[in-house]
Amino acid sequence: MAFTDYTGGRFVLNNGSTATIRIGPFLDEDDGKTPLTGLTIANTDVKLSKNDGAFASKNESSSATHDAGSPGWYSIALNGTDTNTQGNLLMAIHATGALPVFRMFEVNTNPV
Amino acid sequence: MAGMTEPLGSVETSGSVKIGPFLSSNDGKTPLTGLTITQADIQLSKNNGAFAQKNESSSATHDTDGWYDVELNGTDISNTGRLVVMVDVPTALPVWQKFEVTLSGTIVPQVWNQSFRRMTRMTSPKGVTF
Repeated sequence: MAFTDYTGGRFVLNNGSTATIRIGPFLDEDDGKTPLTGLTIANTDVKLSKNDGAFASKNESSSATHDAGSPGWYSIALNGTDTNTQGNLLMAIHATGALPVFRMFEVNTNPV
Repeated sequence: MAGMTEPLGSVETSGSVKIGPFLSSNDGKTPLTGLTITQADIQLSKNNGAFAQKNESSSATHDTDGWYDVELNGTDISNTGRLVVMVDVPTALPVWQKFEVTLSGTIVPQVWNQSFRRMTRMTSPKGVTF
């Protein structure tokens, strides 16, 4: 079955396109409230489930970069392989020291 | 472009959804990868009705980092409107996700961020309704 993110508006990605998305906030796993601004989030830490398939590391090789303007939020680059499957794209990240964060996207074959 | 009222994909009556992350109820942070989540543990509320176990008989299977695959069948998504999938098993914090079942039989999730929920739990003792 196909489904799309319904939280705070959908985030649509074009099939096969590159994209840079923001995800967060990454909060300290011990106090549950402190934004973590210095995390190392490698591409292997960024797990993608394409259209409900098994999680696997993102293909695009770069690490996430922190957005200084919004503590605890990080930018993550995706490439065409990461977005090559129509339907749901679930991104889950559990970085060391942080609570897990995830977000659902929709990959669409029709350009938007 | 498909909109919320124009679900993507073909009309299907069964399939798998991911739910998680399941975290330890003791420390609120450790992903639990070896949970036994049976059919009876997977409670559904169809269009705001009373919770009842899912019809599809299989248990959830672990994927990664506390995320589990849950199979749903046509009976599970037989009612249009809101569908809440809730799992509360021993040693884990409860997890739930909201979906919308459309007339076509396609479901649209309303995803809940577990860490955001936990943040709320820790910083707002009286609770916040989202």
